[in-house]
Amino acid sequence: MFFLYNLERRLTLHPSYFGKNMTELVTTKLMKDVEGTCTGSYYIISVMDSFTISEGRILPGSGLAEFTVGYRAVVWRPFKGETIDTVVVSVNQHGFFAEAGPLRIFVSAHIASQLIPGEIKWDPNGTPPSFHDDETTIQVGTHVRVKIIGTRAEVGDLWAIGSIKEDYLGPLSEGLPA
Amino acid sequence: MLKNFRAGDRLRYPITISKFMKNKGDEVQRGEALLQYTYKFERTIGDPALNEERTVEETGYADWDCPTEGTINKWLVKVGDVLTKSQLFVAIDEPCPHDMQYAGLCTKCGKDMKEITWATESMDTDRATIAMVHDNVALTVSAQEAMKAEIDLQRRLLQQRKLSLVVDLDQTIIHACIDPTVGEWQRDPTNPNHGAVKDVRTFQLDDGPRGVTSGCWYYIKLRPGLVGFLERMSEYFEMHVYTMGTRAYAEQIANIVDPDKKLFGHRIISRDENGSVTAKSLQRLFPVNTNMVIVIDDRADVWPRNRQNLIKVTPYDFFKGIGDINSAYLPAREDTLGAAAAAPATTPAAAPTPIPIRTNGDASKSPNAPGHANKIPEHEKVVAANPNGVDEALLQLQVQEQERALEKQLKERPLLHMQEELDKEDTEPAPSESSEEGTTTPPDSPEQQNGHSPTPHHRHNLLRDDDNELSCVEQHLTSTHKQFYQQYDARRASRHRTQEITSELIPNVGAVLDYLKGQVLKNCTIVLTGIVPQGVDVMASEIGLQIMSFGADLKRRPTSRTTHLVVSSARPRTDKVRKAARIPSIKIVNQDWLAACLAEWRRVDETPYLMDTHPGDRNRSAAADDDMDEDEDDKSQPKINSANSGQQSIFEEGDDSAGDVSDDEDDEDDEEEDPFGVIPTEPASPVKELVKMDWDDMDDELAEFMGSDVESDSDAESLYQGGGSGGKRKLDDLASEDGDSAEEGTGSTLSKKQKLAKARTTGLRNVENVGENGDDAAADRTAAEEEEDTQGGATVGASQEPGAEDEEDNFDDDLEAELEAEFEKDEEKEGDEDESMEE
Repeated sequence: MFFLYNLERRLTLHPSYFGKNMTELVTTKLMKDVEGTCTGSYYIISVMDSFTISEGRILPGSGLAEFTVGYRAVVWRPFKGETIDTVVVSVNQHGFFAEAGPLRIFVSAHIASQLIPGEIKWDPNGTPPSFHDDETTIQVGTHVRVKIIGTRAEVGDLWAIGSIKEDYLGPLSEGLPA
Repeated sequence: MLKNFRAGDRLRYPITISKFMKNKGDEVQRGEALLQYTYKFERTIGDPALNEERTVEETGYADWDCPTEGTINKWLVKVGDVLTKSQLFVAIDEPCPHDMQYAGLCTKCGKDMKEITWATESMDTDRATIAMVHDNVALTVSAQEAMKAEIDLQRRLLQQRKLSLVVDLDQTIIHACIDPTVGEWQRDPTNPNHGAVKDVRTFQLDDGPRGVTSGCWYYIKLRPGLVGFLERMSEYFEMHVYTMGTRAYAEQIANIVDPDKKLFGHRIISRDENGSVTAKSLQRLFPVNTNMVIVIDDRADVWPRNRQNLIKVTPYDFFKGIGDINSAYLPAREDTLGAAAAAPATTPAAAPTPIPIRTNGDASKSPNAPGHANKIPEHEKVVAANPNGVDEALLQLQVQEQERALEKQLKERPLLHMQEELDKEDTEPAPSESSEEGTTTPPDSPEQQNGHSPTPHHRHNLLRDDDNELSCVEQHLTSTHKQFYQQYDARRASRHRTQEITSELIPNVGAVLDYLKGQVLKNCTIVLTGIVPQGVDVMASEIGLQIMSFGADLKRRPTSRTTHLVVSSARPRTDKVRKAARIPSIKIVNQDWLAACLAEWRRVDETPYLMDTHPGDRNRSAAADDDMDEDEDDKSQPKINSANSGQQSIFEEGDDSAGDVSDDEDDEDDEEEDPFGVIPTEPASPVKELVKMDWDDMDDELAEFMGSDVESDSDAESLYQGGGSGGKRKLDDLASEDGDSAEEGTGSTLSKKQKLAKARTTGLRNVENVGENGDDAAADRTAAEEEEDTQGGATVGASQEPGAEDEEDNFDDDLEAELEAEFEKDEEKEGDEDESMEE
């Protein structure tokens, strides 16, 4: 799920950048530093606005200036139970991997796990190999709607397990809108 | 899923079960208290100040918390039980066995497997530890799951009558380089190499920031006939790519080789997912059994666990001197023959990596010592030194290593230099070149090979495109496939029951390969010389292992039973060559013969590969008979006839290995010494030899000889270490050839044998004299002998002397020497007999 989130970050600036465009430099540095990162529970997708840049404080010893920047960012946090649209990136006999932006989700094909409908079978001989039944095919590149049934996070990365065994889940008949 | 849990090692044993808090059928949560137990402990009470301290035993009460969630199936202990150590405690029905996990998440229930609580006794992540998917190491399965997946796979393959084929990329099916010279040649139709490089494929690889080499062009040459080869093989095999290159690299290559993804599909595994940075393992893809997997790779040493399944191909070396651009990740190349010596006569262009390159005086340009297909061998050695597991530092080192190698290639352009060199040669010695043109025998010396060009270009081309290794490999693969399914069908037919596929129904393709290979050089007894570097045990060397896997009997020293002596063309005059030249039944061939045999899997005709022995040696081989006799005289040890074949077979091996040590030393020190073979090859005292003997080898030999019931290792060892004569006598005993008392037996038979030997020796002397008088060649030789005698006289004399003195040695030594001589004799006698048979 996406959120607009107010965040704060401390940035340091090298003395050689001290000058009238310092504010701009700080914002650029902020964007470069945080956009696209994963904090451990959410991804920071994009820095929006409302920069409140504090006064710079020279750090004793190094001469770097430290700024505390408050900003608002679009963050995305996948939740257990959330349904998202993904693209399949890899298929193997155990299931398939699908990506939703930075998040890689695994959907297990194990019969006992009941995460892929029983009639969708693994076909290793196809070119390319795929999961399919009469109507649907899941292969690399297929758009799939997945429900997240578990996530795990470490700083810098997030993983998730998904399911397509529920109504309205599974391959999407048309591609996602661009 | 039922799982039994142990009480755990952290409890204060002994404990007494006092009360169950949950009973059979109860649902439990992780961390919930399941039972209460009591334990005894000692406590110090009282006031230390008053010195009234005393210890009392007290009873503690504690709960045992549930390590998992589920339903209690059964208690495996009773109230009142006293446990003294951890034991099975309770069986809990778990809703999810967590037997497939993705990055610490159970793929079935989505729970976090890395969670640890106070109740956790074993990590949940341990339930699934096997990574068996090609492109992801984070996905792991349990052993059971792996087995199931593999059985599915085997069943499917059997249905399609296919096998799995794991294919290496670099130097096996393609050759890659980043030398921009190739691009220039490609765009320049007048360049002599244009024809060879015009179908070289290119791609740009962008795998992260890496300085100069980032985004450089990779030039990929497909091995001739590759497309057809893969096409045809895909009917018999399900193919996998297994490379030590990066994932991005592997995928780019796969794109070139298999644009439709019909051949390999997504079955690509690269260094990034390998798990080890120095070795490849089939267990990474086929964790349970590799009965239906064949590997083709140009390096055998990277498959330490799967040698059986490997078909080693001759490295494809199109861009001369470049080697394997991903080799920084592998241990240094050691299979000298495979790389350097193995210029298969059929594929002169694929000729050995760096040797044939005429280097231009710049040491760094002749980049590699023979057989080291790498740029900077020193660093390689560091890598090879610690080949343990995934080591971040090591990986880092290797990445830098490769970086450097690539940068060097970009800057120095070895190909351009080599071509320039070649051009220079063309303009300079025109006449000699024409004579080279005349030589039709494929690979005589590396230089000729390079200078010789079949094309009418007036500029010679460096790169040539006439490798046909793949057609050989194709034959091997198809015949293996055929053999495998013949066996499978036979086994199925013998069992009339059902379609059920059991594991014993599936033949082991490794065994099939072993069998096929074993037929190739069967009945050959091969001796190598000048091929394995000094100090390396020939039996353990890469090439030695290969020779043996092809069914040949590898020996350390030529004897009359030797069939082939394989000589390095770089060192054609070793001691062994001289020795072998005297035995007409030995075919002296260069290493290309061996390479051709190993590549084509048949015993190729030796004729084109026969080595010209040095005139000195050849003369002698012409007068072989004389020589043999003379030799015997020179040994100045009494020769004893004996039909004691059992003993002989025991000692032969020891003899050989011992001889080898000294032999090799000879090779090094006095290459030119002993041109007429008068120096006795055995050192004077056999006792000294014993010290150097390869005891393990002897043990093996003995064990083999003794057949089924062998005494334990320690037994055998003490026997040998008894050393000297005692040990030998005991051996005699063991061989039970000499009756009950070893002392007596040896003594009495010895005198008889001595007589016999004397009689025989004199007879032979006569023959020799007649031969020398009558034979012109022999006379010539003696003249030459005298000439050379003046040069080498000192050494010859010196080494002859101990032999003469030997007779005056004390009795023990004498006895040994005689025994030794007797065995030697025996052997030679056999040789003689062989010869007379031939006549």
